Amino acid sequence: MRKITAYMGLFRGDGAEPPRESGYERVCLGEVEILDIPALPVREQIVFGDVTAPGWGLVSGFWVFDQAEGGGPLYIWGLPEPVNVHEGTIPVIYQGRLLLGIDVSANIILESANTAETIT
Amino acid sequence: MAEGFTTSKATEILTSNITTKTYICLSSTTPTKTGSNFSEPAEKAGYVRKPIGPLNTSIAAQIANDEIVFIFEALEDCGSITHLGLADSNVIGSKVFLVAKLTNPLTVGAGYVPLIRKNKLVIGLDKEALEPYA
Repeated sequence: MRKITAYMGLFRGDGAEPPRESGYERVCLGEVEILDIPALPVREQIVFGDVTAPGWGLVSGFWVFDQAEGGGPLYIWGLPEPVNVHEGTIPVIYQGRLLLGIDVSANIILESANTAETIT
Repeated sequence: MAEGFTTSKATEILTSNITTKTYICLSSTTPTKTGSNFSEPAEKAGYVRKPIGPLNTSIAAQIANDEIVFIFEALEDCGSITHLGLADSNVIGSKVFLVAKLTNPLTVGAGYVPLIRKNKLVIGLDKEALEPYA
């Protein structure tokens, strides 16, 4: 079986990938079997980076590449409807769909070790 | 004289109370210190309490999520989320045992997935209280 280092990318309605200056880059999935590629969007949770201004536009589907930049896609999936990936979101391919993640973070330091009543 | 737990005891306290089956909860109101006034999104909006999953204690006296956590996919607008809680039960509305303000409030619209990246939910004990023992 042939293996490749796979990279997941997104494409827009104009056939191009989103602009790198807005935070886009292909996500490396590591080494995968060629025959496993069709299952990747369902099997893996693929998280892209934070989207910065001006956003990534209307994303129409995903591609798999065997290089981090350039080259032609090895596999393509189209979305039933394009998704507007705008600034401030985190695109996630989750169970075969493109969702817009938003970041939750909390740093909970319990003040003093003798009680949990004071929480910052 | 400084007071506090040793770092190993502090870690033991954290890991005995927060496990992989501890549930993450979200609130749109400011909870009280007893855990009341914790207003969670509606179940019909797709909201669930999500297990925190694998944890790491790579930093002494702190515990953090060791994997990305996808909390839920919003099927409708859920408004502004300002606080997070931890609970032993996945039953929406049951008591939480720890509450905290989010670093930044979130506006959760339909189609959004609140998520917590690895090591972004950090619970710890005040380092100053542990310094004599660190």
